[in-house]
Amino acid sequence: MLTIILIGFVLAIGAIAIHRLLKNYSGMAFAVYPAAAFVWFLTQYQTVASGEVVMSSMEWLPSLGIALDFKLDGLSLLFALLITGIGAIVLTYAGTYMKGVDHTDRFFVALILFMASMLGLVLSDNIISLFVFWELTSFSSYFLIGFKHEDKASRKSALEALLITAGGGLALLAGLVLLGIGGGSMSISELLTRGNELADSGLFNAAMLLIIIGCFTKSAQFPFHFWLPSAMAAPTPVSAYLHSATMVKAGIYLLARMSPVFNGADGWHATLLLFGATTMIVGAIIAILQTDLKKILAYTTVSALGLLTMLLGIGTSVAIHAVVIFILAHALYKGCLFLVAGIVDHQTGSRDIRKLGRIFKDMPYTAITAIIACLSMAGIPPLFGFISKEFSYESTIGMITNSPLTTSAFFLTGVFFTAAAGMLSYMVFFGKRNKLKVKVHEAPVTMVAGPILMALLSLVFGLSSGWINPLLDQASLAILPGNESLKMGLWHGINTELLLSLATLLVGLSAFSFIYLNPRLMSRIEISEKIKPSYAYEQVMEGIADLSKGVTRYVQNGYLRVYVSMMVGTFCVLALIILQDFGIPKISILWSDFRVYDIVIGIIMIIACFYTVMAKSRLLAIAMLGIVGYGVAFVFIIFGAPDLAMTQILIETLTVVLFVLVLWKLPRYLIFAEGFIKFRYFLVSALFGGIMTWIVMIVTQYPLDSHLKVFFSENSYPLAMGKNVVNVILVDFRSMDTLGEIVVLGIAAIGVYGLVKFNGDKKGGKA
Amino acid sequence: MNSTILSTGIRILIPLFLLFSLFLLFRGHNAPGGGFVGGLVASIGFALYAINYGAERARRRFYLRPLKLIAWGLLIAVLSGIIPLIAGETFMTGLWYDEISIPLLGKPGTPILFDIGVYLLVAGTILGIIFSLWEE
Repeated sequence: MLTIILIGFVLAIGAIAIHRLLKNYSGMAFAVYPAAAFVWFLTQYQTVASGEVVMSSMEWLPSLGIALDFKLDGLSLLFALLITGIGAIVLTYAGTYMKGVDHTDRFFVALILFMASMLGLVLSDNIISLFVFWELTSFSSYFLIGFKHEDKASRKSALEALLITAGGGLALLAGLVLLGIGGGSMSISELLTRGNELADSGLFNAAMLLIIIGCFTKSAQFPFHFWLPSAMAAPTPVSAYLHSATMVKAGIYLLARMSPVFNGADGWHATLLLFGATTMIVGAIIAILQTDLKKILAYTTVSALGLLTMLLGIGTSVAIHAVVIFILAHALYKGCLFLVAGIVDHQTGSRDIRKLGRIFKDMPYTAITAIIACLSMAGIPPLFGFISKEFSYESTIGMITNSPLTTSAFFLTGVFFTAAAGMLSYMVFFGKRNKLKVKVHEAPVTMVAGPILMALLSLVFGLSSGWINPLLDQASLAILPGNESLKMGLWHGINTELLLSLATLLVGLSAFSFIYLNPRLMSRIEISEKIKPSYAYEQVMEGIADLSKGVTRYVQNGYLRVYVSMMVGTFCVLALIILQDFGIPKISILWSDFRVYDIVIGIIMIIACFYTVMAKSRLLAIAMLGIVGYGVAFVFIIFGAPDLAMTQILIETLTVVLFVLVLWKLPRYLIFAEGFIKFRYFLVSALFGGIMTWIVMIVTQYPLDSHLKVFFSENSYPLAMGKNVVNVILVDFRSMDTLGEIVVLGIAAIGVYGLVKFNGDKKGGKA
Repeated sequence: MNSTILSTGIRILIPLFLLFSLFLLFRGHNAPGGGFVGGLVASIGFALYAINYGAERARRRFYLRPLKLIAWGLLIAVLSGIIPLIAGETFMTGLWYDEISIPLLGKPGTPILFDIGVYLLVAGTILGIIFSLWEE
């Protein structure tokens, strides 16, 4: 399993080259990867269906208990098949859809990166590796949403999605770590059996809450749902894949995965039920107010995710069955509908249901596909969506408390789903005459084939649900160990669920006809900006921006001398705090210790210092400063450090050269500091000088510890093959430090380059 | 800035500076010198040329791309740390190839590679700063 995921990452890196080679056929070539993975996962079907678990393991950071452990059970296999299967379809589709678009190579890189990460996520059996893959999916999603990066709205949506999912990711990380500490293991399989230990550790509730937050952000639960509709800025294949079939279900997956630990806790049920139901209803209501195909689909996806969360919150045997069935049913019909929306957009140039209409004859295959998928969405027999709806009704009806509430919530959602299904099929392919300016043609086979396949599967699984029964059964066992075995079927006799289903359909159809017949009325319904959670998000973001602007304006005021005095001042304060216990040490100076050149160099440096401060021109000041530097270099030479001296001399020379370059451009020497200000700088300088002297005096009190010196001189040649100890320390013994330093140096140079080049005018240049 | 002495002298001096910088780089392991100083010396020649003839001309004349030098330097330095990783040692362990000893350069080993990285990066940094300042 590790191999499959790694191949994905390698392919993502190589995607640019492959795309250059194959151009418009690259989509199909890339699709070979998920298709092959799909086949491999299919070969594991029998093993998993019989209740076995496939494991693979590789150590990563054994000291921290972090490993690349992968586990394939029913739930993982269900997701893995969806990811690879729909992945293959989407890549093939995207190859045609993205034809003629710039930077398609980047698109494929991010898409394949996502695919591999998502596979890693659902297969991981270690909380840390799961988290790493989780974050990778957020990143690739960011790149894909922001694919049209010239578009401001696109960038904004991408950032919004990233901030919310990655913010939730932080909560998730904290939750997972708490879980790991409380349960005493990083392995998910082990943690699932350690619910009691976790409860005893007292971290249970905190871990649960944090993980729920993480999952809610990822799976677009109210009030975090708004990033998902914004994410529709991404190209349609991405919406179909990430934002309906797979990534947004990662939160659901993790909730399901962690269910054996948390199921039974009060907070778990209440939270999931409440937020799930709210999301479900809010999503469904907003969905039918939309006119953009993708927005309708996005909000129904939000609603569907809410339903899944709610069902997980119910947590009974049948509810868990309903979860796994709906995951599959939803992925099939929603993925299909997104792709259809993409086809319609691609072929007609519009996604607005007010403009579309009567294009059935122009694109019959697409239309029939869409209709089948919509029937599944509305839950009409014999499609798979019907079975899913029956199970959902059974779970809400079967609840001990709150049954009427949840049942009516689901009823309402079902009504809106039916209405939305009508809007997506009837109003697009039949209905009123369209307002399109182009002649509409059927899409190429590479685009239509995938959706047709998914629609057919909706039909096949509905008619012979026995085929998929063992897998879904195992998946539900992974969520709820010891769950009753699942028996799917179309006909359960005339019961409450069936009657409710019928009622849902009838009310849904009348709701649809109302929407269809009163477009003006619908367009007048507006939701006030101020009650939307996205409004709160924007307020917070603006607040952060304003705050940082304010702080920057105060601290980074642009006066170099203020910066320097601040830095020096801070140093002095810190040094004083540390040094306050030392007192003033007594040092005795023996004049006989000094040699003549010591004194000469000293005097030269003092004179140079004096002139640096008193100089009336910059050039003189810098030259004098250079003399001080050369003096230091001489001191190095006297005390036997030729390496240091050499470097010092060169640095001094270069500093002067650089200064001269800068001075060339500066105005004449101006005296900024007058009177009191000058006194202030004098004070800071004197303080700094005094403290440095004090430190030197303290240091000389102690004998030099020459352990290191001895070690380095003794081992420099035997261990590191070098006779120059200074150099050996730099490039061998302490090479990590040097590496860090040169990185800083490089960054500083790039910083200077950036500051100088992009200062004011935005003209770019070469360096 | 234009001085006849400098503009004539610098043409002869650049190869000398370069040679001397390489000399410093490779002798650094056993005698005073090393990548840092070497990089500084190498950049001085070009810096003087740039000051005399302008940065653009220096760049075109010697195919200088400071940002690339920085990138390559960093890459080589990191690479010298990764090679031992592949050989099964910890990151940045010094590895030596004892079999041969090249005259003047000494035995090849990852610390030398690291020093070359430092050399390139330092030269790139100094030239990058000088060129940008000059063109500003």
